[in-house]
Amino acid sequence: MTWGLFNPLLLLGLSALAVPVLVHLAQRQERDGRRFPSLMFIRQVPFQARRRRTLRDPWLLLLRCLALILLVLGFVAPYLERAAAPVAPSELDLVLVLDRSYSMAVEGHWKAARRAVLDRIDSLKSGQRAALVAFDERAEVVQALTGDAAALRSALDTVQPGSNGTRFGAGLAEAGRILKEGSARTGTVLLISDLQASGASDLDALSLDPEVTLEVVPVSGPVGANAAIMSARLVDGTGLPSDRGTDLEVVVRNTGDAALEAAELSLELDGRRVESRPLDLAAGAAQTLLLPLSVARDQPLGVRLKINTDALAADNTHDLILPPRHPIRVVLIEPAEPVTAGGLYISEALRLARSPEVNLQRLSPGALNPAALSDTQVIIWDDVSLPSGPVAESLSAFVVGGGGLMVVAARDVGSAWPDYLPGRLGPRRSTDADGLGLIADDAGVGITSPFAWDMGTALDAVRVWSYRSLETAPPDQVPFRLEDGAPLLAAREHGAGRTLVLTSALDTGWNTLPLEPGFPPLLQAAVQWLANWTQVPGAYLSGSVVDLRALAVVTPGAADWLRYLAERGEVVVELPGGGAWRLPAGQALLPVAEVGIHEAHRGDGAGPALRIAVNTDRSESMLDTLGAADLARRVGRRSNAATAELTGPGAGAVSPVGLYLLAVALALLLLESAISNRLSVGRGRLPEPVPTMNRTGAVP
Amino acid sequence: MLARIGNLDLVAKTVVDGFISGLHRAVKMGAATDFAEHRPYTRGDDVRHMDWRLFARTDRLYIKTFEAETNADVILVLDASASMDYASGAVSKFDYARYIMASLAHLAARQRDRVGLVVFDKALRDWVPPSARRRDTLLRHLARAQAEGQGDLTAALDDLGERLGRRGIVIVVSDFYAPPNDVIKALDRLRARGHDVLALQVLDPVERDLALSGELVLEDMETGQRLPVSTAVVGDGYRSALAEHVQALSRACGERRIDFACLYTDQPLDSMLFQYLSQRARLVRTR
Repeated sequence: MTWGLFNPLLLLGLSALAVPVLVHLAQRQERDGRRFPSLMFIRQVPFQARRRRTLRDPWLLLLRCLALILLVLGFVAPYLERAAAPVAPSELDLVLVLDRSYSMAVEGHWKAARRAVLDRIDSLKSGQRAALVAFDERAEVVQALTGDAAALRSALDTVQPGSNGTRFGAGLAEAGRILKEGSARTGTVLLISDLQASGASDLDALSLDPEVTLEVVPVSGPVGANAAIMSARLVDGTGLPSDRGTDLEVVVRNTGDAALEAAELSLELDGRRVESRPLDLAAGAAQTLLLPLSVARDQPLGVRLKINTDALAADNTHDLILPPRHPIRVVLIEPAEPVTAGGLYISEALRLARSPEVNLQRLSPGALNPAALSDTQVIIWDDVSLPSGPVAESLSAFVVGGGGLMVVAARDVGSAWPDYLPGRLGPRRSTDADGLGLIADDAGVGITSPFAWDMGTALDAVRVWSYRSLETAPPDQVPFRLEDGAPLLAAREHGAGRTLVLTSALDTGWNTLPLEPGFPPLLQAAVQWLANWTQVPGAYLSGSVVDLRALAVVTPGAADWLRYLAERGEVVVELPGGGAWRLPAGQALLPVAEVGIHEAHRGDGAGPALRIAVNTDRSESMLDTLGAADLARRVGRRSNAATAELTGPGAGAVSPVGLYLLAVALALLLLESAISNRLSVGRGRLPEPVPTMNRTGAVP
Repeated sequence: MLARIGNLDLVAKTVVDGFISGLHRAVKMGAATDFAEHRPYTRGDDVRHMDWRLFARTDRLYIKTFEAETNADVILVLDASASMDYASGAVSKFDYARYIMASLAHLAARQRDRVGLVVFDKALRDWVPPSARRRDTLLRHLARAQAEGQGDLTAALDDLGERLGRRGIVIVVSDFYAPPNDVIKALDRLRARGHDVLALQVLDPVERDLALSGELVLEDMETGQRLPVSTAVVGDGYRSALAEHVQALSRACGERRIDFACLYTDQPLDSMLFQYLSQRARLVRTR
């Protein structure tokens, strides 16, 4: 493109002369905006304007127009001087941003995308440079800026659809960085993608340079049937003889645009095929399948679900590592001759626990000894006098060392109140016949979380008639209070351990708590919190970071792993594709990108391997698309990309002539300000600031 | 107002009963026909609802079927972003939305449904878990809510979808000031999780007609951005864009069997509810 006085862009700049006219026409300025719910619809109106009635101060108007003309000429001068100069290659830089998410593997899509890239490479002008960026959830520069078309073609040949999802922001941000680091800030970004709507989630954080032009090449076409394994999870039974045991609940959805017929879902356990189910799904339909798992689970079990064939292979496999059953070891201390059914309520409620299970041992206070404590994670002290002497010291050391202790403090806990228990216990209080209800007061401890949404009624009917008062102060937590504000369940963290105090007996003469359906989950949540138990996911999404220490806690025989990691031992990770990767010494956080089952081994070869299942983000399988205009609009809203075409090359370079013109324009503007102020003061009010409208009419 | 709605319940029993029972048919698939106090545990039942006393006594598993459990969860979802605070008359959009929610809570409570409340702006701000007994709590939270700050309907509804465990009836009351595609996708995701979704759009008549005269500087109540406009110039375009927005929502909701109604704050609440319930009942009968 050449530049001259009649260049349309220059004329566009001169159109800014309309601004002072508008300012002069403004006669009824409002200082305060009128509040309105949303401007989104007004912004959709192509043009807004104020209608003004008369011209005022025509000399001032002429002055402003002259200043603007000089401003425009000042900025355009470099172009005028360089009208005949050749355009530098860097000023035409092009970045090809190619989507390689797994949805691009749909037959025909990848071919069309490659064709679009090759066409653009073939149409490069002499001296023009281009770069190739491939992206999915992350971006990779496959070829930096070059004028060598052959190199670009070779680079394209190395790109294939992968196994990850789409994040447009990643690819566009990388393209913006390439242009920014080039010798000129201007250039074009060409996005080639199937424009999945799920990939637009990071666009709001994208900041593309306003001088960059964005072009979008959508790749579309029929998909066919595509069954995706959306999720798989364990459904544990009750453990009773009448129950079938554990099932694997698998949700499969046909995200394609054609019916899926005569397909098959198979289940493999540690590489051994054990089950298959036929699949027939209409387009858009989903199906939930329950697959029984009748296997021992004393070691981590590798589960692979596979669908034999359809449009997208990447979402046809789902891996899962089923954790071994790893019961929490609990000791219940109860009176040798119980006067209430508290022990029965506790033991039966914990017998229902499944994730994780609970191994309960019932002892009288006299049977508690250091040997029993050594193999225990949680002690429940059910309304028995708290110990003294060596047993008390052992109990204190147990808590400090990381054990969990729950004390039911009602009748017979004695006068001693050790400092590892929350609050200070007071006397017994009783209410009238109506009793008091419960209030879940603090979700910080996590015990109340099971009751937040779907358990609203599970504890609604609890009535408490008797309880011990308990004075608590921070940092003690109170997960459950009574309606009069008194703590019913209080928590404290002490040393490495945790303690809870229940201020009412598990006795129907004191309350109805053990009779309510919410009691088992409440007690189970309390035991899990006391044991510091955390759920380790059976599978991770590609791109996640896995904490090997958490895996080591739940893997049998892997206790030494924690010490090994703490001593900065080296870890070797076998990747699903067959390669291996060494983690830096002492690093326990493993980023996983490859789909499949990873195995982490200690560098010294000792101990069991830690197995990690990694799957693709299945939002990528939802094939809803975004229109090219929508995407450009979402990028443009932040980056003003739509204005990029109006910006010429070499912006920012000002010639001596231009500087002179700008200086004169500045002087005229100062003169205009002075005159304008004088006139305004003469009229008794200050001039209103002139809002500058952008192309959408918004005031920045 | 509520008294009139109560009368409507009695006079137009078919409409209201059809409304509620129709919703239940969609959610529970006939499970509500068994009103036994206890029933044997069957696979898939939530063990947390087990009758624990019977289990301890007999070592047999029974599920305690609550009265409320046989009915539906009704989740009232209230948009409390600043744009809802607009009022050209005595009643703001937010007040109107709260009246609707109070009325629906009243209707649902009469049906012994479990009613919950979620208040959101750009995230979930306040919630009352579904319960058949906490209507007073719900009304207190409703009265306490304030419309302020920027809203993000999509993020809030997605978060809500993650949190709602049990399928139910989700009633979203908002001005739905977001691109229709975003709104529909968010509602559709809730529906895909098994919820029956009702979307009620609340607008002010001045907002509908841009019944403001002259040249103004309008200030966006959520973003604070200001824009000089001439209402004479932009009026037609604005009304057309708003109507198109409402129609797009209505059309897309209809295609997805999401119930949608647009309500204006200058119309009597009870007649609007009556009109909506009638419309809803007709839809249910044709399903």
